[in-house]
Amino acid sequence: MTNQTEEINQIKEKIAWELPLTEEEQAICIHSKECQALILQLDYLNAQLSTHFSVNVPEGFCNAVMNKIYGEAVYKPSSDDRILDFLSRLLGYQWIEAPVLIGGLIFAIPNLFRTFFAVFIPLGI
Amino acid sequence: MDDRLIAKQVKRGNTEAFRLLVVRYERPIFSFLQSFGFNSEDINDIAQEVFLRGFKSIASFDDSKASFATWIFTIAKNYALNQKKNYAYIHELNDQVLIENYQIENQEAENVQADSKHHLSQALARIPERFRNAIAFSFLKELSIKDIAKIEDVAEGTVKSRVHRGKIMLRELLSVKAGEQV
Repeated sequence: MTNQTEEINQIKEKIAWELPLTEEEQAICIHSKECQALILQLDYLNAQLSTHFSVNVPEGFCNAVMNKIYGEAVYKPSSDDRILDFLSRLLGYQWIEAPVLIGGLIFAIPNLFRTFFAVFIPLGI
Repeated sequence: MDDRLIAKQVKRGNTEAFRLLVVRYERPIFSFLQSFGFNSEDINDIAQEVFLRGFKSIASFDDSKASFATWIFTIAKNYALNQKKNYAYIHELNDQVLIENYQIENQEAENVQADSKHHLSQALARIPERFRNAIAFSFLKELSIKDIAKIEDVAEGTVKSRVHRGKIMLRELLSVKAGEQV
């Protein structure tokens, strides 16, 4: 009796793991209510899962995806736009103020001296 | 037409060719997202985003490394997991599914069906993610065990084991539920 219970448990384990049964095991299985109940349960579960995962895709889904793709692809910035975009982003940084100021001074101070020596001194002002 | 050829066309700038891939994979992607417990509206949004991301990153698709199915499902899995972290779906699931499923009233047979669907959704939401994914993937004819193993980054044997263990867990959860009702 214990041997048979063990055997049935082993068969049930195999059924649960969906492993192939030998002919001898199949013969035991046919007469075992426990095994049959398990097979029915698993078949029912598989059928339920199959229904659960077979969903309907809403109508127009593909068009919605393609519209989104085209919507994002429509705007392709030109090289001019990219330069302006780069400059506006660059000038947006706070740290850029100091280098721009220094650069401006480097350019302005020598020009001031140049104007002074080239224009005002020759005129004798 | 082979997925790889279509993907090549898309890479060359034929945007319209991507429509073929969307049509081919929309249903399996929806089915897969269903296993996460998202509601139908969110599944629609997430699926759209998955395809959009797929299109944008098509240049990174290397057909010598994986099939298109493996590649798009990897995107879907990662994005869905990310979305799931952002929203507390498991906690909301009860209410959402109840509202969705109990809209049909006075039809006993349909109510019974909705009830079992609800229990299955709940049970799926309760099993660990790796088992749930394996089960969901195994019901998609578009994916082979080899594909699933690549997506999940595990051995093929592990995929099979996860599918079976997942089903055992589901069966136990559903029989507990049935026992509670009796």
